[in-house]
Amino acid sequence: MNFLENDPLIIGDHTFSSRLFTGTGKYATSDSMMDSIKASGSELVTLSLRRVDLENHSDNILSPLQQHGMKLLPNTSGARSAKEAVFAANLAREALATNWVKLEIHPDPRYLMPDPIETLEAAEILVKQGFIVMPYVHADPVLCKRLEEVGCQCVMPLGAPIGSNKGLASRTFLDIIIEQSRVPVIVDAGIGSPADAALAMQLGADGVLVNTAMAVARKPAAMGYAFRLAVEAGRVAYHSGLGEVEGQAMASSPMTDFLVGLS
Amino acid sequence: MKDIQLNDSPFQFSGESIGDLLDHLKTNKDGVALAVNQEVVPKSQWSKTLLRQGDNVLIFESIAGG
Repeated sequence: MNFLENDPLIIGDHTFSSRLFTGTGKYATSDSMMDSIKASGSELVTLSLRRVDLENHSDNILSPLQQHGMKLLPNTSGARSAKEAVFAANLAREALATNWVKLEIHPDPRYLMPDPIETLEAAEILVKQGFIVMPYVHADPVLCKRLEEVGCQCVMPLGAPIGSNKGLASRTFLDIIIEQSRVPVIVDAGIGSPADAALAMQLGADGVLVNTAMAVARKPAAMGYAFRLAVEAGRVAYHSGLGEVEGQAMASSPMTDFLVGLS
Repeated sequence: MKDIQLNDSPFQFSGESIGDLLDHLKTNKDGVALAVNQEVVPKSQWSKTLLRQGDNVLIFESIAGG
C-alpha cells in the first residue's frame, strides 16, 4: 500500500512528489553530490552564484543536475541588503533560466541570521517582477504571514542556524507557522539528522531542505536515502494522527487479575 | 583596444560585443550571467550589446550552494 499517493507538494506552477529539497554545497566531489541527491529522491536543488574566477575554471556542476531533471533553485546567498538580493535574483534568472529564487539575506557572517526587514522588502519587489519567491527566514510567525501576504509562494523558516546541525531549535514557533500558513512551509537550515527531518514533517511541515547533514556524512548517498525514508515516514505519520502525550502510564495490555492467587 | 573593468580588474579587449568578450575568455556560457555598469544584461542581448571604453563588466557563474 502506498500511503504517499495523491499527496503532492505544489509550489507555484510546479508539482513535487518528493518533499525533500536538497542543497548542493559542501560535497567532497560532484559525483558524491549526485549519488546523494539521487538516493534522496529529491527533485529540487539549490545553487548559488559567484563572480567567475577568470584564472581557474571551476567544475561544471550544472550538467549532471540538469541531466537528472532536477529543478534548480538559485539562492541569493551573499546578499546583505534587499537591493543586492534583487540584483542577485535577476542575475540568477538569466544564469539558470528560471524565475524561482530562494531569497536569503544575511548581513552577519558569524551566525548567518536572515535579515527580516530587508527580506520582506526584497520579497515584495521580486514578486512584482514575476519571481516565485521562497524566502529563508527566522521562524517568525508574523514575518511568515507578511511574506505570504506580499505574494511569496512558500516560506522557509529555519530550524537552527545554517550548517549548525542543531535540529529544530525553533520548534515552538514552527508549530505556529505551520498552523497559520496558507502557503507551503519548508523547514530550512539546522536539520542535522533524519530524525530532525522526520520530526519537522510530523509536525506538519510541507517539506524540508537539507544540505550539510547529507553532504558531510561519511556516506553521503546512504545518508541521502536515510533522509528520503525519514521525510516519507514523517509525512505519513502526520497524516495518521499521533496519540496524545500523557502525564502517566496508560497500559497497552489489559491489566487483568489472571495471575492473582498463583505462587 | 578598449580598457574595461572585468570582475574588478583592468582588462584590455579588442572585440565589440559581450558575446565577443565571452568567446575571447572561453567562458562556459551555461549557468552564467553578466552585468554591465550594474545592469543585468539578458542572454538574448549578449551578441548585440556593445562594450564601451570604461565599462564595468561583472561575470557570474552558478556554483554549489545551500
